[in-house]
Amino acid sequence: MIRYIASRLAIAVGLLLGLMTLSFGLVSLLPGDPAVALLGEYATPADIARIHGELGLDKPLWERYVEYIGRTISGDLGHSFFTGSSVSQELWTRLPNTLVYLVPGLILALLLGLAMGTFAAYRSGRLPDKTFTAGVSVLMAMPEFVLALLLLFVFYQQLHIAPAPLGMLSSSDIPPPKVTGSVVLDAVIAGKWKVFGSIFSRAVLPIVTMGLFFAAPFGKTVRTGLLQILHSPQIEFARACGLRPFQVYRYALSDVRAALMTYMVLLFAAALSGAAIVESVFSWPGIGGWSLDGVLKGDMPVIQGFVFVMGATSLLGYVVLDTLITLLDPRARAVAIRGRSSRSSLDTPSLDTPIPHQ
Amino acid sequence: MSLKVNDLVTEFATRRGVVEALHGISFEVGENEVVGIVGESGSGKSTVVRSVIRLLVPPGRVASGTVEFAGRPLLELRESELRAIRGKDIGFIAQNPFSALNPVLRLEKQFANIAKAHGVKADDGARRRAVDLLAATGVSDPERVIRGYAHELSGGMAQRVVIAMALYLNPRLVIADEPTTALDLTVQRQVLDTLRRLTVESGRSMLIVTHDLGVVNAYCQRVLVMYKGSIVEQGRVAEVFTAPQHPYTASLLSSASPPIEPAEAEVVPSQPLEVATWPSSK
Ligand SMILES: Nc1ncnc2c1ncn2[C@@H]1O[C@H](COP(=O)(O)OP(=O)(O)OP(=O)(O)O)[C@@H](O)[C@H]1O
Ligand SMILES: [Mg+2]
Repeated sequence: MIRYIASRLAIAVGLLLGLMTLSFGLVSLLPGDPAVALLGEYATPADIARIHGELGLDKPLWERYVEYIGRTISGDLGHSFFTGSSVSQELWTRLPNTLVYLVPGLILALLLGLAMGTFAAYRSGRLPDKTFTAGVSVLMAMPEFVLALLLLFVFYQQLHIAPAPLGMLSSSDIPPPKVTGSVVLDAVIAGKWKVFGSIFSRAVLPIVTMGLFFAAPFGKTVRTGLLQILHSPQIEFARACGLRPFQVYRYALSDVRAALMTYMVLLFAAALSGAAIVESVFSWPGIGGWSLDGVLKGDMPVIQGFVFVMGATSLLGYVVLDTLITLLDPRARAVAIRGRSSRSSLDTPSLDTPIPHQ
Repeated sequence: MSLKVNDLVTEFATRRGVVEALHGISFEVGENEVVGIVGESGSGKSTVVRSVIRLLVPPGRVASGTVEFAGRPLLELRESELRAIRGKDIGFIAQNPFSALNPVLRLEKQFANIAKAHGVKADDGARRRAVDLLAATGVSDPERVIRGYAHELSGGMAQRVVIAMALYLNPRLVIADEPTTALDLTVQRQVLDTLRRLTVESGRSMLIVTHDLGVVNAYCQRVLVMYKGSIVEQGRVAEVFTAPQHPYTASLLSSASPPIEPAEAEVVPSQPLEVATWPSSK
């Protein structure tokens, strides 16, 4: 068991190193000179050379690479070329802002998707299933920002029940005392539940946007997986033993569990890296809008930091998930712990609903 | 407690329209009788079994006909009433134990779930009955096996577990769809002997699907011969095998290897099994 988890950790470390290399390579090898971006097109060669020196861009590539790895491991992701603020600090204050709507949004997507997918699978081929399939096609064809704007139009513009899309706090909210720098965390630490409630009420539309947007592909995955298993000999035998419908459903779910968990992590990664769109629409001070800004300006450390942290989060999520799935499945567990192969095959059904692009 | 099937028609809705898989089938399984169903692949043997206990899933559907079990019209019952019969009055033995058993639940949990589904308390007594039943089906070290998972077993042992689950609540009728096809030749015979011991010799009836005429000859009293969705011949095994009336039966018999020596399946009376007793009070 411990050896198994250790081997997983080793793999994670290896992958992280690869990710650092990638995020360094991606940005350093791309065309475009940050000094030019910083100074404008009419900069003199002397100025450019000075900026190169300040940014360390005059050093050879491998030296910059080693420095980058060293700094990243120590938690320093550099400073923005333009604002000079620390990238790790920015990430640390902005990430909670993003998670505060993203995690509930995904949970909403999970619940909606599970309910709709289950309903569709149990009514397969009949009207509810066809309605679901049509609805999913519409939702999946709709870009996230259209969905967000639609929700705003209905609930803010027409019904006046949603607050204006002007960020996390209204002008009347008193920001909590600064402890961590993240408004959300500080509000929780200071026990300012009114501020937290205000944030949450502003987060409702982003949450619903995420929930609806990701419920569609998730529901489709649930439907595909359940349809497969509901026609399987395992479920036939469970029914033949007279198990109650809910027991049968639990048997079926335990079979698609691994595939659904995997899909959830993929969705999380997709949602995190696509946060820019929702955050632009709702003027949300999360990581999405900030990273988009960085990309548009060519702010190298910001892009690098964003790529690295998002990649690392998804990677770690994946490794943890993989370990969890293995330990939850007695067949895989036997193989992993004792290193012996078992009789039956371990293939989980592959459910190939594509991850939506944003 | 007999099963009476009358003029059963089952169809599948496919892309090319509705395909009739059973064209009006009638047969009976009498009290304490073993009836075999033989026929080539695709002749509709499994479809008969699924139609009878309503295990068919869309696009399959029973279009017409009646099924009567112990005087109750199975095809007209509500789903919840039928569910109460499945597993309790009619046991089902699947073809492949590894794809039938739940791979992620301990076997004791699966036994307990069956008990709970039928309103039987999953207490120590119920667990002991499962262990006794496993022992009776020939599972060695049943105490250890029941605490483990399906994948830890050999094919023969796993099929014995499936048999034990099918018999757990003491059903009057057992339906088995090719119960030994997935097993090694050497254990097929043992499992069939176990099955006979626990069913017909304990006063139950059995409907068994097989493509092995030797099995029919050795274990069944009557046989149904299926061909392309119809029963082309049925009768006592000895009669059908010595004087087949339908050309398909004759060709089936002549292609069998080794050749079938007609012999009445003799039921060896044995001491009644104590595992067959289950407190009748719920
Ligand atoms: N899901 C399905 N969709 C369409 N047709 C089906 C379906 N299942 C079965 N059938 C039809 O029903 C017929 C009988 O199938 P069934 O599985 O009952 O045959 P079988 O006698 O059990 O064969 P085997 O010996 O291979 O198990 C097949 O020929 C097929 O045309
Ligand atoms: Mg079959």
